[in-house]
Amino acid sequence: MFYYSSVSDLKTKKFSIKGLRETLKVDQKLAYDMLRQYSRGYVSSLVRIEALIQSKANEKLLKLFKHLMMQFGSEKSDGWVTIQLRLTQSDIADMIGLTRVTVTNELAKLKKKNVIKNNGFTYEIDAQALPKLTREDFWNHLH
Amino acid sequence: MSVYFRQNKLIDCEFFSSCIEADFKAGTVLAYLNEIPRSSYLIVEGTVKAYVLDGQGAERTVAFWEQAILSLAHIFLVYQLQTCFIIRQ
Repeated sequence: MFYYSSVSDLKTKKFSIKGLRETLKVDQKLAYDMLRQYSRGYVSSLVRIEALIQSKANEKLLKLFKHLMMQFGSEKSDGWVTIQLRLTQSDIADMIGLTRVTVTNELAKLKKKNVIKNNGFTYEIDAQALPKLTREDFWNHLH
Repeated sequence: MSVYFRQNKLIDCEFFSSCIEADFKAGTVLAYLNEIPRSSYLIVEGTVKAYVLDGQGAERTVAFWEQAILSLAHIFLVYQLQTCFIIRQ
């Protein structure tokens, strides 16, 4: 459906689709772990859709960061979460259908509120502040 | 259950531990648009980007993956296509 390219140097395990299908029929643990990963991907995709259907740019951005936190977040001891991904502002704009200029402006507002900070292409999010801004207690249900 | 989904148990599964390792340099195109993959990859380390090209040929990012199976949906889509093929014969 898409082009796939490696963003960083990549280590992978190559497998045949047929081999995996056959193994899934008999390996319950593998089937469970795959279902778990697929379910997580599904929930994360729903959050991404939630970001896309927002009408306001700041809401789109907040929901996208929620999606990115779920998918790529690493929790730090100080309550902030690092998104382990090299993200350009163009990437962010593409993912939610905004222009790069709008993303730049909205990111500046969130930085001013001390909800988001970035070091180059790596973003950190205040995990306590984000749910308040999106007015949801979703996170508590998952913890 | 953690809010954060990065932990990947699949790497520990016996099936994947016996698979061949394949490494790629950053910027390598792993699959092209509309290509139905015959092999698939479990990402052990690194990040993969899915993208499309717009009318001007510029890349538009669709999604990122790390520590996941690439083209997971294809595993079942291809299965369905083959099933259809068998029925038609």
